Amino acid sequence: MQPPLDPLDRLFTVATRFPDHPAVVGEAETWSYRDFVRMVRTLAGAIAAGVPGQHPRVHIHLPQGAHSYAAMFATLMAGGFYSTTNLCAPAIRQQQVVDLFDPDVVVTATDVPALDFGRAAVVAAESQQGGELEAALPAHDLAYVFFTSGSTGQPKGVMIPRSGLAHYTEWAITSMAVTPDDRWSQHPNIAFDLSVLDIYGALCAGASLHPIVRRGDRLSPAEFIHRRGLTIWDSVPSVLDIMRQRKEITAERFASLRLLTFCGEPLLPDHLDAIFAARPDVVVHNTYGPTEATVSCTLLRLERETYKAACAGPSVAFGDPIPGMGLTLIGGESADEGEIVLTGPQVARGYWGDRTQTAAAFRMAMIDGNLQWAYHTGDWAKRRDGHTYFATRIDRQVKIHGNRLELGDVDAALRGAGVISGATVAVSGQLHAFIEAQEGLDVGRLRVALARTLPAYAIPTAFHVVAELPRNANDKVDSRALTAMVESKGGIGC
Amino acid sequence: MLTIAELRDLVAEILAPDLERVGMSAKAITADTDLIKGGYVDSMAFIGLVTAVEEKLGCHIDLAAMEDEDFATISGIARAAGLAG
Repeated sequence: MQPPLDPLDRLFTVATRFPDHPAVVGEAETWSYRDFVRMVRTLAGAIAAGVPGQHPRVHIHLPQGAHSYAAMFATLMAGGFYSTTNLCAPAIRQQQVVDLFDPDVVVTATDVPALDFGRAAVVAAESQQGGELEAALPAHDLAYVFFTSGSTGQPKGVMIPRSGLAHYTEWAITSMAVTPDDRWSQHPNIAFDLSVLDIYGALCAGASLHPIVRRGDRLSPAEFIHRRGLTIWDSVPSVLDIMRQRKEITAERFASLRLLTFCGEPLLPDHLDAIFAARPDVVVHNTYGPTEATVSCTLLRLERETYKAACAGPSVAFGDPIPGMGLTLIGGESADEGEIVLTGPQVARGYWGDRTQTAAAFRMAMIDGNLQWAYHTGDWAKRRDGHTYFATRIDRQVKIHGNRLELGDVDAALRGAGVISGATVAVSGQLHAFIEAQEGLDVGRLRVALARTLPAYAIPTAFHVVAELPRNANDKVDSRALTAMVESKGGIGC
Repeated sequence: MLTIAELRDLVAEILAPDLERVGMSAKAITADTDLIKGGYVDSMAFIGLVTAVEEKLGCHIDLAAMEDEDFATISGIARAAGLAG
């Protein structure tokens, strides 16, 4: 089998064929492929000038939009790899990522609040210094490092190889049949790897990318689809809940769409009911995959006539592994149940600078008679009638509105805010913190303290004061008992 | 037609039960408080608030027409609802 083309080569190829076609359509400005590639070459020149003679480690400290996308390709062109800032996260958390990544170069802009960038050379996104880079420098093994919630309060950096990104990009463009006629949404924050699908899927195939930046547009996304005439929509399923609440899932609002693709949390049968009621002729892709296996590595193609057969679980089935990737269920009582273990070119190299966490989740495993590098996801799944369904987590990782979160991360923030003994559980997508205290608790003050270190979605919705946390035989906090307390709603004071 | 102060009171009344439950108060909310950045609501709860205001006033609030600067503020909601100039 031919190795997949590198994403950078794909960008240059489409830019040569369609130089005047819009690459990125912003609010006030549109960048043609000619403009975009010029920006990539210029930034690559500035990045390479910052650290001559090595693979630069580049941190992108920019909002979603043409400049940040260009900085990603520019890093690859300069032979480096990048990480990105989540500008919605508190400054302390943004700084933690920069400190852990310890970049050689930071690409940023004057209107973005700066952090302490340490020893890094700072390059302005609109920089002209150094001149355009003519030819790509030799590639590094890695393409990017995405930092996700870690169970100790310290973010975990997932190291994705460039060959894995190339594999994923090729799959995305092929399976979604992307063409230059496509107008594609860019909704996910660029610090979440779902954005990789939009950015590489669109810009490596000559399509036009439409970042959704304005706050009003982010909360009326179907209106944005309608106004821009988008053909492809990509988001976490939670965004459908916003559309539904605003009664925006209609034939008129969705008129231009041909394909909606979802990832990041379970898609629900009634999400599909709403979509197909509005647009019976549209196609929906449900996909599954952790950041540790490059965005997604399964696909289920859903159409109105057939989707009901994939709705036998509480959430919609997530399909079969994509070509080249392996998905095995391990540790269950039968072959139809177990922890999802992933193999193939998209599996990450491990966690940035963290051998212990890497060893806990990544190891060689004997699968189908071959010893393979495997990621143990912690997701438990079940097979029924040929379909695979997500069942539960086997650890304390949860999704809140599509955001991945380790409950240990929240517990650590509680300790940082002065809580001596506390524990968090997620019930029906809401976080509940239980705090051991003899008397009342100043919840207002605690919230303010948590907001300094946690992103908004990680701050518990409810705080429960208990005289003593329930513990199991090993003296560990009994999460099941806490969950039962929330579900029974009996006698819990807030 | 509602004044900004009346809209503020209406928003405070809608939010009060949820805020009380998490140990917060609606008292400090002014016409220019960013309800999302100020931690009073998350984006889903903001959508719920906007829907509740629409039902109460029988109007349509065009979120896409709201500017980033006054988004999720009482004055922004008033403008988007056509209540204030």
